[in-house]
Amino acid sequence: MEIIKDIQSAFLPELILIIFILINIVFSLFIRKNTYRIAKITTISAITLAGLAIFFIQINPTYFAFNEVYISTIYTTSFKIMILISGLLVILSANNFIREKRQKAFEFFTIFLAGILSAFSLISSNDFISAFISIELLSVSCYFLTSFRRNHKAKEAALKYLITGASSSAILLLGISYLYGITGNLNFSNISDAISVSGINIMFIISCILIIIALTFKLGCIPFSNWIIDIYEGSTYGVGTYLSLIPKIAAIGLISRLFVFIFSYSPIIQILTAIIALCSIIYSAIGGIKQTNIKRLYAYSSILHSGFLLLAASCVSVYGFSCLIFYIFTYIFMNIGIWNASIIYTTNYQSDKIIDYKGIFYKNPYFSIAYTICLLSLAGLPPTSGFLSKLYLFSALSREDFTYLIILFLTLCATVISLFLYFKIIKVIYEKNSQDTKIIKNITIGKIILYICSIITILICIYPNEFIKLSQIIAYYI
Amino acid sequence: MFEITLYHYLVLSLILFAIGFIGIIISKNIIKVLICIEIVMSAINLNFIAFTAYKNYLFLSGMIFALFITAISALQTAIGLVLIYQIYKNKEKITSEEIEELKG
Amino acid sequence: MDFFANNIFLIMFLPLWICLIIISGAFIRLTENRKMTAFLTSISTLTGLIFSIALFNYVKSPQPIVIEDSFSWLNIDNLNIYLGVLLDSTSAIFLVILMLISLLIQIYSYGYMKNKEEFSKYFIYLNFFNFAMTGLILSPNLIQLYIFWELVGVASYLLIGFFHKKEDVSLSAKKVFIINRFGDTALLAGIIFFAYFSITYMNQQPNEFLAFSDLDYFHNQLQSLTYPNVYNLVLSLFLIGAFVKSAQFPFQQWLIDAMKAPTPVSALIHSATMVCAGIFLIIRIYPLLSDELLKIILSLGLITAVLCAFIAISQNNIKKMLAYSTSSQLGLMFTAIGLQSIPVAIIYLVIHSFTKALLFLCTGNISQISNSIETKDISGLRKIDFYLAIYWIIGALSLSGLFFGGFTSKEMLLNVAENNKSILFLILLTSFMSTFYIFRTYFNIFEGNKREEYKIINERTMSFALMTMVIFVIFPGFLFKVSQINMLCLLAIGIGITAIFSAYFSSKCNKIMIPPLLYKLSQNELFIPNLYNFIGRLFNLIYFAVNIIDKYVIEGFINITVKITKFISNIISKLQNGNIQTYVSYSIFSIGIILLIILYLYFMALRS
Repeated sequence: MEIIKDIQSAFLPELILIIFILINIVFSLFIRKNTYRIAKITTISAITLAGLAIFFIQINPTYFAFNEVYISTIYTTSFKIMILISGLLVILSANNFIREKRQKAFEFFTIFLAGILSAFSLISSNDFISAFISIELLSVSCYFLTSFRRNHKAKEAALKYLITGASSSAILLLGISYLYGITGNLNFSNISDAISVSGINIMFIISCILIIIALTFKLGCIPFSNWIIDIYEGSTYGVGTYLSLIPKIAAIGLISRLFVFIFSYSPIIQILTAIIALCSIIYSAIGGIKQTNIKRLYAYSSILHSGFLLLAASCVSVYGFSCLIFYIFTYIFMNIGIWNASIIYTTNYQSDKIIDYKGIFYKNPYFSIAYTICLLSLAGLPPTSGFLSKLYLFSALSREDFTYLIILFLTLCATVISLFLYFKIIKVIYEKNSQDTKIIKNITIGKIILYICSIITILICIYPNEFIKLSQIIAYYI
Repeated sequence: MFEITLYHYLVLSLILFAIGFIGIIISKNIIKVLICIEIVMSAINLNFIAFTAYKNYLFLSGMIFALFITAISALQTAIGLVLIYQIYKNKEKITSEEIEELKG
Repeated sequence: MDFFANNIFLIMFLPLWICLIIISGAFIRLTENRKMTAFLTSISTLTGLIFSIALFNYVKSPQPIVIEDSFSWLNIDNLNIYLGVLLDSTSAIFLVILMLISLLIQIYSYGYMKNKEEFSKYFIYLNFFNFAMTGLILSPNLIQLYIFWELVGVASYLLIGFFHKKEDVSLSAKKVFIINRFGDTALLAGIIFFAYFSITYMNQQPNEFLAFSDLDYFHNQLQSLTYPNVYNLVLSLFLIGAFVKSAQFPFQQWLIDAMKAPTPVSALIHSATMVCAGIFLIIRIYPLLSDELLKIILSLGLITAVLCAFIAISQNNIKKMLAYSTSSQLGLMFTAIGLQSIPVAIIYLVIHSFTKALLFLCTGNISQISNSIETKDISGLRKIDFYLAIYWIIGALSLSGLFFGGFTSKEMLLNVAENNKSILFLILLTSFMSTFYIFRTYFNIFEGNKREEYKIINERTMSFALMTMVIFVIFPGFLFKVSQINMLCLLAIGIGITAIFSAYFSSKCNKIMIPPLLYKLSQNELFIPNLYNFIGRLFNLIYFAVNIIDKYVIEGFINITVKITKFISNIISKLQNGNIQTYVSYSIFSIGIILLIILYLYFMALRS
C-alpha cells in the first residue's frame, strides 16, 4: 500500500511517461501506416498529461518516496516543468526528426520519452543508485537518438558518445565507491549526516572531485566536452536540439542538489567547479571562432552556456540557485529559437555551412529578425533576456569572496570573445548579396515557434521581476 | 602469511581500473575498448563489494549497487556492439582511426 | 476619468506601435500610401492629446494630484529599478504642449514633405521621437529619465540627418550627437554619483531607486551627511547635462548645426520640445538644488540670454537667427528657475513653444516660396502672401513680449525679478534685442520689392497648421490674468516699441545702428566657433601624440590579442582530431592534474 501512496504522491508523471512508452511499443507492433504522425501525437499527449500530473503530486512539504530514494520538492518539480516545456517545444519544432526511417518512428519516440523519463528520475533522485541508473538510462537514450540516421557520421558520433559516456560513468562510479567507503551509505541525506558527524578528510575530497568531474561530462564542460562538438555535427537538427537541452537541465539539477547535500562541506570543490566552468567558457569562446559548420558553432555555444550554468551552481547560495533557475528558463527559449531557425532553413536547403545563410534577411525579414533576436539573447546583449540572466548571474558571483571576483573578470572577458561566435552568423545573415538569397517557405509551425521564442525572449526582458521572484522562491526550497 | 585487509582490495581495484583505462586509451580495436570498459566496471564492482564486506555498515547498499552496475554495464556493451556493427557494415575493419571523420 | 488615469502608458506606447507598424509595412511595401502613414501618425498623436488634456484637467483640479503607476522592472541586490509613469501637474503641462505641437507639426509635415522621397522614414522617426519624448516626460525616476533622454538624442540625430545624402548635413548630425553625448555623459556621471551617495549614506533606502517622489527625502538626508561642496559638485553634473540639452552657453553651438534639419523638424524638436528637456530635468530635481546652484543657473541663464540675443541681431540666415533666439529665450527660462519661481518658467516655456513653432513654420513656408533662407535673397513677401506676413507679425509680437501670449509671460518674468536691478536690466536688454532682431527680419523679408519668381503656396495642410498655431499663440495670453500694470510693464512696452522703430529704420537705411565693431562681433557669433576651432587645432598637437599611441600601442595591443586568440583557436581546432581515444585521454590527463594538485595542497597543509 505504501507503494501506491508513493506513486500517487511523487511518481505520477513518471508513471504516465512509462505508460506512454509502453503504448508506443505496443503501437509499433501493430500500426504500419502514418506511423510518424501517430507517434508524434502520442508523445505530445504524453508530455501534456505528464505536465498535468505534476499538479497532482505533493510538493510541499517534501515527500520522500520509495524508502527515501525518490524525492519530490518544489525545486525538482520546477525542473521537471522546464524539461517538459523544452521537450514539447523540441517536438513541435522539429518536424523532420527522422527523414529516412519513417517506419521506425515509434521506436524513436519511445527512446525520446525514455530520455525524458530518465531526466525526471535523475532530478528527483535522492540516492546514488537511482542517480546512476537514471544517468545511464539518459545516456543510453541519447546514444540511440544520436545514431538514428542512415548517415555514417551519426553512427560514428554515437560510438564516440558511448565510449566517452562509459568512461565518465566509470569515473563517477569510482567516486561514488570511495564515498560509500567513507560513509557507508548511498543516500544523499544519510551521507550528509554522516559527513557532518565525522568531518572531512582527503578521501572525501577526492571522491567528490571525481563525482563532480564525471557529472560535468553530461553538461558538457571541460575536460569532457570534446564529444559534444562531434555529436552535434553527426546527429539531425531535432536530436541536436534535444541533446542541447534535456541532459543539460537534468545534470545541472542533480549537480545543484549534490552541492547542497554533499559538496557544501568543503570550499575546495566550489572553487574547483568554478574553475572548471571558467575554463570551459574560455575554451568554447575561443574555440568557436574558427568554425564554419553551423552545428559545430551551436555545439560550442552549448558548451559556453553549460559553463555559465555550472558557474551559477557553484555559488552555493539561495541567490546562486535562483540565478540558475532563471538562466535555465531563459536559455530554453533562446536555444529552441536558434535551433528552430536552423531546422526551418535546413528543411528547405540542406546545408550545414554558415556561409549558406548569406543574405536571408532580404527575402525573409521577419524570420531573420526573430533569429537575430535569439542570437543576440545568447550573446547577452540588451534588450533581450539573455542580458538579464547574465547580469543576474554576475551579481550573484560578485557576492561571493575574492577568488570569485577574478573568475568574474575572466568570465566577462570570455563573454566578450564569445560575442564573436554569434555575430558570425548575424553578419552573414545581413550580407547584401544580389543573387543567391533564398526564400523560406511553407513551414508554419516551426516559424510560429520561432516567433514565440523570440517574443518571449524580449518579454522576459521587459517584465522580469515576476520570473526572478519565482526563481528565488523555488531556489529556497532546494 | 599476512592478512588480506581492505586496502589490498582497494589497491587491486585501482590497478584494474588503471589497466582498463589505459586499455581504453591505447587500444586500436574498438572491441578491445569495449572490453576494457567492462574491466573498469568490474574494478568498481570489486571496490563496492570490498567495502561492504570489510566494514560493518547498517545497509548492504554496496552489494546491491554492484548488481546494478553489472547489469547496466552489460547494457552499455550491448549498445556498443550494435553501433559497432552498424559502422562495420560500411567499413571493413573497425579501428579507432577509422572513425575519425568528424573533426575540427 | 479612471480610464484615462489607468491607461497613461497608452500615450507612450501608441506612437511606438505606429512606428513599428510603419516599419513593418515598409517590408511588405504597404506604406507607399502616404496618406495612410500620416493619418495613422496623426491619430496616435490626437489620442495622446485627448488623453493629456483629460489628465491635465484631472491633476490640476482643486488640489494637485499625482498619479504614479510604475512596476518594478529589475530587482537585483540593492538595485530596484522601477519603470512606469508619473503624472503630476508639471508633466501634464509638458505632455499637453508636446502632443499639441507634435500634432500640428505632423499635419504641416504632410504638406511639406509631400514631394520629397523617403516620406515614410520621416514619419517613422517622428513617431519614435514622440515615443521617446513622452517616455521622458512621464518618467517616475532618474533611470527611466536617462534612458529616454538618450532615446530623444537618437531621435534628434536621425531627424537632423534626414537629408543625409548631402555631405554637410550628415556631418552636422554627427556633431550634434557628439555634443549632446557630452551632456549625456555628465548626466550619467551625476546619476551614478548620486546613487552612490544615496546608497552609502542614507539610513533607510526607499523602495524605488532614485524616484522623483522621494527627492525631498533624499535632500533632507543628504544635506546633513555629505560635504556640501561635494554634493553641489555632483548636482552640477546634472546641470551640465541640462545646459547641454537646452543649448545654453557655452554649449549652444549644436543648436546652430541642428538647423540643417528639415524645417518642421526644427519647429518640433529644436524649438518646442527637445530643448525643453533640460528645463524639465531641472524642474524635476528642483528639491535638491541649493542656493549656490540656483545662483549658477540664474547667472548662466542670463549670460546665455544676453549673448545669444546679441549674436542673433546680425544674423542673415533666418533659421540661425531663430536658433539663437531659442537659446536666448531658454536662458530667460533658466533665469526664472534661478529666481525660484517655477510656475513662471513653465508658463514662459508654454508660450515660447507655440511662438517659436509658429515662427519656424512660417520659415518653412518662406523657404518653400523663395527656395532660400538668407534674408538678403528674399524681399517683398508681404505682397505675395499677406497672411504669412500677418502670422509672422503675430509671432514676432509674442516673442518680443509686446502683445498676445508673450506679453503675459514677459510680464510675469519681470514681476518676479522685481527686486534685483541688474537682473531686470539684463532681461530688458534681452527683450530689446529680441524685438530688434525679429522685427528686422520682418522688415527685411516682407517689405521691399516683390521678386518675380515667387509664387504663393497653396498647400492646405500647411495653412491649416499655421492657422491653428496662430490661434494657440493668441489665446493663452488672455487666459492668464496680468497682476497689475505697473511701471515695469510700461517700461517694457516702451522698450519694445523703440526696438520696433529702430528695426524699421535699420532695414530702411540698410545698416545697423550699433558701432561696427559690435556688429562684427555679433555677426561672427562672438567668434565662439572660431574659438572652438582654434582650441581644436591646439588639440591637434596632442592628437598627433595620441594618434601614435592609438595606432601602435592600443591597436597593437588589440592586434596582439586577436592574433593570440586566433592562434589558440587554431590549437583548439587541432585538438579536436576526431579520435575518440584522444578525447578520453584529455579527460584522464586533466583529472590526473587536478588530483595531483589536491594531493599536493593536502600534504602542504599536513606539513604545516
